[in-house]
Amino acid sequence: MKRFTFKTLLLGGFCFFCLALGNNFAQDRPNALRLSYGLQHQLRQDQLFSPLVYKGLAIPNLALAYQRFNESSIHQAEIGFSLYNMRNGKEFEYLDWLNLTPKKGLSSSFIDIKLNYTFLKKIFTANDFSIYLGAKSSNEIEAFFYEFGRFSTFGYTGIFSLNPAIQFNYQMPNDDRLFLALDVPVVAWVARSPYAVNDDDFIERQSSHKTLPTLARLMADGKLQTLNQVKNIRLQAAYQRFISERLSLEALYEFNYQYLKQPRPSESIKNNLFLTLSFHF
Amino acid sequence: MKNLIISLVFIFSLSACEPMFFPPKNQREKDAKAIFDELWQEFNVFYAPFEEREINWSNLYQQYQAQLNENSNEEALYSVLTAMLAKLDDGHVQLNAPRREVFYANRIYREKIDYNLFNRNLIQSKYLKNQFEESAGTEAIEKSFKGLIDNEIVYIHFAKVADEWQWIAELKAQHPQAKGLVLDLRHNVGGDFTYALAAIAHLNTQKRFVFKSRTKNGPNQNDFTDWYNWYVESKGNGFERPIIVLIDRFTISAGERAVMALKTLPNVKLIGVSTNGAISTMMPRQLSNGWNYSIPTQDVLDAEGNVWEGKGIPPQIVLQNTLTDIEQNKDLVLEKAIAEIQKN
Repeated sequence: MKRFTFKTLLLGGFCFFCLALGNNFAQDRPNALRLSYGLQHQLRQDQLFSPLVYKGLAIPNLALAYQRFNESSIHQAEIGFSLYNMRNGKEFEYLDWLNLTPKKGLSSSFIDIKLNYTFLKKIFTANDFSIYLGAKSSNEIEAFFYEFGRFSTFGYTGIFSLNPAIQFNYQMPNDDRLFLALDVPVVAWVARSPYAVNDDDFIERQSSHKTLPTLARLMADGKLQTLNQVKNIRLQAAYQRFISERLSLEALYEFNYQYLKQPRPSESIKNNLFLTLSFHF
Repeated sequence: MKNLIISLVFIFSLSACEPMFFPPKNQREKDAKAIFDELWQEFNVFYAPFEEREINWSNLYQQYQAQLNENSNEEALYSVLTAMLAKLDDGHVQLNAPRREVFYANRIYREKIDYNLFNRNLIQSKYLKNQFEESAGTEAIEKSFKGLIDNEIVYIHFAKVADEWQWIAELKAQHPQAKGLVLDLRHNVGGDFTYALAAIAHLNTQKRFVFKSRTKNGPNQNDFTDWYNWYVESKGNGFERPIIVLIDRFTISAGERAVMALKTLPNVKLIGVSTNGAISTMMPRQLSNGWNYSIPTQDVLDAEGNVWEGKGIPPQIVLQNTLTDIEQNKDLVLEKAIAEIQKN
């Protein structure tokens, strides 16, 4: 049954791809389904856990988006997942307490989950250049599984914000597109690990030992914060090329700077290079 | 090939961000005195039970900081830090430096005093007659196991506080006629005490206040959260027959919280020697030189308002095996537990 399903999916995918490459010259295809995979790099220094700067790549990562892009507006709903393998640069070896056997410290894992919705309205156009202005509902949860040699500890950050967003588009003569987008939160709901990482409230909130209820309770325990306490700047630059009437490929560079002040400062920088395949319909 | 080169250049350029956003702190990681100050200051901010352990932290700074200077090497730094931390004698304070054994500030743990007076193989072979079930795990000392003694007493050794505590409810349902329950928490390394509270609810007939704790939440000495009361709920019809809880100096952390909760039940008796006395929740952290350490951040009081931090929870019946007992294939502490159940 499993093999049959896999073969069916493979065949279906192939047919879909052939159809997409075929000569279907529909002029108006404002909708797109987008699948992105990328090279993602993160630097993070979170004083709640360590004074050291952690860095690493997210090899397992994927983002899916639905986009509606027409003359007057852009809608995009996006869900993404990244798993970072993080280290502070030094391999850590130590001797176990009981029998003095040599042990190696594991690398830390950081998980990013994002769920965003963007709505932009065209406010300016001149020849092939246009500017869109609007808002982005940015929802990002980060889970940190720190490995400090003999110790492990868990931490989290949730940032939920409604961000003013702007996008500059340039329509190239051959139908290719260039765009630059920026969004910054003014007010955000921020949930983070407590000052001493494991306090009674935290222990109680995860006492169901079920992922989703725990996550919901941890995220609900946040605070509304403004620009002087939270900075989460996201800049994207992309080049999109149509490889057929229905398919486009996009190279997207994304820079994200995040600063959180409370309860102890945290800074992170993410540099991502995505390759996005879009199916337009 | 071209794409590969572009990718490599991109990755290389990412690392250039680090000094721009996270500037190096004047070779701080190599300065023994700065590392000493960093550790001392973090304990000054986060360590909760100074008072319970009668520690004057400022005096220790004066005493040990003077032993270091800018030229002190790693060995000297390690020696001074461990000497200072040893004064806390706290089982939750550990220092984990590269290529060295994990350092425990608590002398009993550090010197493994009486560690071999508990022998899991002896219990499994002699008292459970090799009829036992073990929890999953890579390290033998972290594997819990359960079985029946003389077909009438339920025995569980919980090596940690984790999801296997659901065994209590399972065994209670499987053996409704059992004469009693032995919960062996000797050498319990701790974990997450909420597993224990959920499990103890199956032995309990009414909601009970079991302990309270408060956590450091700011840099000043008196910056604490409000006291948080912890309760054990009641599930089912409880367990009316005797429950014997075995404890020793290696019963630590969440294992001790479990003991605090269990001793609120009227049919529980503690046998053994006092627990370790490291009850507060701890927080792992790192120093700028990459060494790892842990800090206890809580004050904890039991249901009667007693402080056991630094002292350990005492048993009602004090009893400890000797090495000779173990060599003679006897666990007198367990045998006492069996006798206590049999006399009911």
